[in-house]
Amino acid sequence: MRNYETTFIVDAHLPGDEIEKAVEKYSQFVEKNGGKVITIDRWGKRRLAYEIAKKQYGYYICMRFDAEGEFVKTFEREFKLDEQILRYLTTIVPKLVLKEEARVAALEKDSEAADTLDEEAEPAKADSTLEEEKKPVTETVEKTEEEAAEKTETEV
Amino acid sequence: MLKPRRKRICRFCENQVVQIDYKDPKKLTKFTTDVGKIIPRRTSGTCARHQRQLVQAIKRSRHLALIPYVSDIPR
Ligand SMILES: [Zn+2]
Repeated sequence: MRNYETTFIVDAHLPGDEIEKAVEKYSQFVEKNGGKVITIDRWGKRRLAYEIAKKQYGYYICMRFDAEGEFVKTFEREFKLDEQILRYLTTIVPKLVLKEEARVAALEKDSEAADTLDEEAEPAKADSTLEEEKKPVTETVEKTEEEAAEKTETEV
Repeated sequence: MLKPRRKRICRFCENQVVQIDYKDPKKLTKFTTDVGKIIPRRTSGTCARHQRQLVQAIKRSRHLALIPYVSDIPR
């Protein structure tokens, strides 16, 4: 099992319920094939940077899911055969990113739980980052094996 | 005359970016020319690791029509 992210563009000329049907179709497709949908992010209608099939607008959807690597091929075949889909892209979410997200989520949880205690709870790490104005303090996690592991990707 | 040499600091290292996001066209276009070409790292100062990531992110972003491949007519 691995965490994947698929962004796809549905023809924005379709009525809203048709678009919703397409979103449902693909999320169900993941679940039916042993995967697990984690998030569905509807960016909505956007102007395309260039025309695709004579269309200027697309409806963007970004989906996160867990699945086996073999599934991705099947999944992309579905997109390929679907004329309502203008573009699609599946990427592996690198372990490093997952780690970072988990770290940020944990931090948020902490600050919710112990609002003011937060500053004292984190001094060791804050020191090493010095006084980075107000940039998001994201730690560069040790990257070596993980980096090598995230090389493989599916891109069409 | 030599061009004034700017300090070469990788902007992604500066901000401790773990992974450059292909879903963020606004940030990516800062690293492309008006025509849409990727700015070389000798100009932007991006480190090798982040330039590699950046190139991949830009290509993905182009594929999804978030940023143009070429734009001779800037909108
Ligand atoms: Zn860098």
